[in-house]
Amino acid sequence: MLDKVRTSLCHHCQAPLSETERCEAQIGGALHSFCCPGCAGAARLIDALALNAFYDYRASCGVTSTPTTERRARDVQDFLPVLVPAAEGGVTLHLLIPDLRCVACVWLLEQVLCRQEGVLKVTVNFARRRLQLRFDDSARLPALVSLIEQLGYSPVPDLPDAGREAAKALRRAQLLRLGVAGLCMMPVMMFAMASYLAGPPTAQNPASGMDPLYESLLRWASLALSTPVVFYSAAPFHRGAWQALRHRQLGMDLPVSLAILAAWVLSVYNTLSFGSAVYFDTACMFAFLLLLGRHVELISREHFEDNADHLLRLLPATVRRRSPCNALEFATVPMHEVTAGDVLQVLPGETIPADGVVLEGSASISEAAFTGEPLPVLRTPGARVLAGALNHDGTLLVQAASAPQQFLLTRLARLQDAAMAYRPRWSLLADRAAGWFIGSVLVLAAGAGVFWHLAGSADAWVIALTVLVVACPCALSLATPVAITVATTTLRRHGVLIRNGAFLERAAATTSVAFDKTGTLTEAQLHVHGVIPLGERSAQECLAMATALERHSEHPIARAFATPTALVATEVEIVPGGGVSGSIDGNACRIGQPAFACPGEPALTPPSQEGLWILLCGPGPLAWIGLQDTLRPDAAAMLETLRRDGLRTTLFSGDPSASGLHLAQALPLDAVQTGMSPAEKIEAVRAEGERGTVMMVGDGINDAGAMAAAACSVAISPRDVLVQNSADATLVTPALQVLPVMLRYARRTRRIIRQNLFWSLLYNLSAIPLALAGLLPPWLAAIGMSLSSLLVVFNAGRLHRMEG
Amino acid sequence: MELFLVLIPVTVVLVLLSLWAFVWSARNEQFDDLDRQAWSILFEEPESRSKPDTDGTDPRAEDEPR
Repeated sequence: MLDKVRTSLCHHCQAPLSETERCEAQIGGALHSFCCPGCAGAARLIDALALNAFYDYRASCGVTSTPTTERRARDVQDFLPVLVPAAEGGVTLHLLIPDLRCVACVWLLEQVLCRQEGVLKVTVNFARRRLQLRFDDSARLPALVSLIEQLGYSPVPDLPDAGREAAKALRRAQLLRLGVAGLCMMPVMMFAMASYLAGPPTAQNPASGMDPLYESLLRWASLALSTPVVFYSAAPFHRGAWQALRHRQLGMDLPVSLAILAAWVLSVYNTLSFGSAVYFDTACMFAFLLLLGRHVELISREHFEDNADHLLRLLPATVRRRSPCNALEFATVPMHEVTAGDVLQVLPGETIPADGVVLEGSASISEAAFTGEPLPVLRTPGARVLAGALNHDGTLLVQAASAPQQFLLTRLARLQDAAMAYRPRWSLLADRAAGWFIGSVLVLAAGAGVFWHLAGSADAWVIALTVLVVACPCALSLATPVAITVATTTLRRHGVLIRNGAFLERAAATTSVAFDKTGTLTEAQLHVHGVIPLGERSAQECLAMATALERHSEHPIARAFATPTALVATEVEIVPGGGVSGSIDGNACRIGQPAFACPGEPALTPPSQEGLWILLCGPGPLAWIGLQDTLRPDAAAMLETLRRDGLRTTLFSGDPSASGLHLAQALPLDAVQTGMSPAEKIEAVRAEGERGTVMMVGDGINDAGAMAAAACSVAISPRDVLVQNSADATLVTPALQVLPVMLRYARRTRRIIRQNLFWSLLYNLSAIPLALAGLLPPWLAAIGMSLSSLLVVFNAGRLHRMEG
Repeated sequence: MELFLVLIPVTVVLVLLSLWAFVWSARNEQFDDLDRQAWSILFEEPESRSKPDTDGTDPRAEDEPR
């Protein structure tokens, strides 16, 4: 059975094979089938280079598809700006390969490109989908680019971007700081452990404890290793503290910086003066743990950066602009030269390059990037189109309405940048609380120092430091961010992307979940659910004819037809907004909208209001074919789980047909409303909100309002960037079962954060009085501080597991 | 205990060496892509699978810069 499935898929791109267009080739001693000559060529190329292992590696990565080779090749001119002379000699080509699916692809590209003559160095970054290719002569550019295209990838010029370069530099600087802190912290703590275990010399027995020679050796070694941590790794804290002071504020960085510097200065003083104890380990550990938290936070944001990046790359690099003097002449100009009023030509299969109005021509256009709606919509002269939409089948003349900076797509990318700068409320609150806390701690520590000094104690300043160390709100300020970072990362690993930091907090409080229907509980993919023959032909024959016709169309409706058939349609013509016409066995056939399929008989009405009905004629009416959306297989089980967890489930559907009600009977839902406008959805969500905290789950632009009205929102595998931007979280995989698991996980995160806050407050509040009274030796304070931080970190580490 | 006098400086030197190695590798973009290296151990270099049937046009015979 499995073999049969395998042979019905293209060996290279794993696309289903059609009966007529498949081709076969002898590859690696076995006969394989391919969907197109391009894929067969790619496989032959891979075989010729003895890289067949690619297909095995790909299978082991769990990724089964390779980008198909059917595409319009890019103009080599596009790549010239990203071809720069390399310092080591030769030229470097910077490419972005958006369809790099798995590490097997990386391996394949490296192996293939390494073997090309003149190629000096190949660097592929899988995480960022970047390829850097250094070769000796710029004349090889066309050959190399077309080689990558032949393998089935679509390389895009990776234009330098100041913001991205800055982010990269920041990431590297942070990694260096973190690594230095970590590597130096380990031996410093080891040295400190030796001192702690030996204990200090006591007044009764000055010879007890460690030999002063070894003790000072350990101290000098610690001093040497902790100095780079204090002045290099912790530099951002000192800078932040200085900035805050200059603005007369008590930032979180101030106590951190002060504690690190104070611990270091006091330790250096004690090292030089053979004083009682050193706290180098405290300073290092403190700096390391805080840097670790910041680094993890930065990494978890990268995904969103990349998203915005890929969004802008939907736009082509060059456009064909009509010359102002000669209406028949088109010149290819770079994208950035487009201004409002320019008339641009868009061919079938191309991306619309500008927001504007259609002047001439008509075509089916899918704006999946904006609306999530995969069905193309017919656009005729006078209609508005958006840059980034895909033109399926017609040639258009579009008049640009603005310069590229004002395109909706560009604005969306900027929106995403803003979203990335968001700081969770929890985190802000903890920061502010910790700020106040530290303000009082500074006063307390100074007060204690002055008090004991006046009281004549020789240890006055050690006591002040002990207070500072023991009361350091390290655990308190780590309590929330560490848990949130772990939770965000874990959720991302399970296919949940969180855009809004407040999401976890609100998801934990959710009492009611509202769903959209199409695309959320259903697959938003059409399937044939009924055939009503009108003529003498059987339903099976009609489906075969429909498949033969629709095979030529790229329209989503066409994907519903997969009946195996030997029938071949000729003279096929695709009419945008109408359907497909052609000739089968000499009979003129048409399929599509009733008015298109059977223009002579306008009286034909679909047999039912439910679902979508198209008419097949050949030449007279032959059959009604009903197409319907199907329920996601795990929808019912997911709703059942939500109910068991005590959540209210509701369905707000915009679909006016009765299918919403049918669904309600099949699914465990508490309330169902159908045929709602977006405004009614918002009202309904608000009404639900009065009874508790609502989470809205949707997938399309029509839910964006309701999503904003709900306390928190989740978008399910949206093709739509706008929805991803308005939703607080996104499910990347269409597995609905993640939803209840995620809600439980959010509640567990909340519980763990509360535990963390409780423990760190308890520790601080109980240890400070002891330190103030001078009863706590500084080394015990340091251990206590470290242990409380570790406790918080380990407690948050329990969130690494999604279940349980 | 006299060993301390040797071991502690040795530790410091080892740490400095590892610091140098870390800084060098971070500067050479070795930490930029963590996914790929985790997988690469599973992918054999084709060079290591010796196949005699490469009919003279063995790409490995060419000078292969890395």
